[in-house]
Amino acid sequence: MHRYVKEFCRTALLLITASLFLLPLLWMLVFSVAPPAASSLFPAPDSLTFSNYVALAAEIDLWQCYLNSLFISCATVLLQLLTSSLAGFALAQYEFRGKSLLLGFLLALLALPFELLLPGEYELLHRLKLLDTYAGLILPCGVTAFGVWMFYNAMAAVPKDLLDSARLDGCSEFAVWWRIALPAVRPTTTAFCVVGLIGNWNSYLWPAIVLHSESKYTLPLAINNLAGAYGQQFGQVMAAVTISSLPMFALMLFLHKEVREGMTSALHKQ
Amino acid sequence: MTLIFWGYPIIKSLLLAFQTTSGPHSARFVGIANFAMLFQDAELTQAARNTLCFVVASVTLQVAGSLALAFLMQGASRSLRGAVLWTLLIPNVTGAVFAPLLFQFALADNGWLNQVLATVGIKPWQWLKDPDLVMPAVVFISFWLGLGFNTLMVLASLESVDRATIEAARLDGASELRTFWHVSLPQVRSTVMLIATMSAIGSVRVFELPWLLLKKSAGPDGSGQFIVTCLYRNGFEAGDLGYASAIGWGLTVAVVALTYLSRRLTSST
Repeated sequence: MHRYVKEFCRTALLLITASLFLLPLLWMLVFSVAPPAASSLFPAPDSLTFSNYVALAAEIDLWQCYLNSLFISCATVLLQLLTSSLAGFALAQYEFRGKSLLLGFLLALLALPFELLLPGEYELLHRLKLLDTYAGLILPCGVTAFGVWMFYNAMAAVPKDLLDSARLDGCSEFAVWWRIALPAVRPTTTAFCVVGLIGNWNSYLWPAIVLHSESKYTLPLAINNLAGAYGQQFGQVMAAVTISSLPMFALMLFLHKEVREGMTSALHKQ
Repeated sequence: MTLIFWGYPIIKSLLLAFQTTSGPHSARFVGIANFAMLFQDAELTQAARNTLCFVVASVTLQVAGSLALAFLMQGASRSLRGAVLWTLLIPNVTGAVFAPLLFQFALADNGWLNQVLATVGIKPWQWLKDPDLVMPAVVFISFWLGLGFNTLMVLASLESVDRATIEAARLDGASELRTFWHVSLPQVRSTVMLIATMSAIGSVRVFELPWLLLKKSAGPDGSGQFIVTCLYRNGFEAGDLGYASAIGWGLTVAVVALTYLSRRLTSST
């Protein structure tokens, strides 16, 4: 009997915590489909309408922002994946002079906050005339110390014999990387891509500094501007947040197991 | 490319730190004036104090919260554990950019938090207008955002704990809680340290959360001023990239110190 009581308490406690965590998001959904003027929970809005979404679409060029966000996130992650996996592969599988120095440098970069680079990066982009361009936004983010380090750990676990046998079969070094090493670290790749996509989708500080023209705005920029300008139209903002987070929720829904495994294994090797 | 986009900015920000600028053109050498100002700027001092307070609060909450949840979830059924973990990770996906928007309205004078409080007879609080309440709000939202990920980390490392030691302790009559505290926890110490370090570094660098929550302002009486918001205001709103660089170096020193501290603590145990 005692055991059942304990189990019941445990389950109840967990469910209560989980629902408390969901509550803000649930109310976001509710108010996004409530009449625009609704702000009261008691009584809760009783009619369902999409007028918030319609008004939102009239307010900002949602489609354009979506495309911007999608393009920038995907391009950044692909570039990061390319540089991180290549560098990680080289660091893990090759012996060359200065390797330990490079590894030390990598660890030092890991500890360096990105914010330190902002002023210098801004000045550089200004000189290269890359401010307010996608290239200026994406290229500086193209290499991440964390990514290189993550792939370095994963690639170090790929057996050398496997790579050597591929070389004997006449694979070029590039092919060894592309056809043997990269598929071998697939969980890391998935986790890196999903986490990177979510991170870039939600990034605000760097785009806010680089982008000036509204037609290039990403979703976080556009929606925060909207919220600043129309502070009281909160149904509209809830609608905006709902549709901007939807793709990432979907991603997490389908891939959360892979992400969990990839992230935990990557971090535990430290 | 690494050299251009990492090397150049690092060196440039070192150089800039000795200059004063308004916009990227007009650099003028000022020696160590920027660094001297770090210690005299009342706004920055307040920002540093707020940041320190935030770091301590959120590290404590994250570690305690994730341990407590992991303890509860450890014995739960697999499906329940998966479902709870998924729910906890959802805020993380919402991210520090969209979450402040949700909470701007949740914490508004007539927002739903006050409405909930009203049903149990508590008078409405001015969450984002009262200098004393801004910090708790920011701490709470960051707790909401980060807890899932940290719990996941603790749970994953708990799986590597030696089952035999746990069973031995249970056979000796130790309660579940005591077993967790005295047997499991010491074995996952490095993960707990990792969580503490990561949330400490993340909290020192907090920007989006307070900045967007307070509608791009420093909040009432500067209560929402943090180191990076200070850097952003000085560098990209006022245009003084030099002073912003100096703040950036100050931030770097803080982060490196935290990293070093955690390495020392981890290796000494």
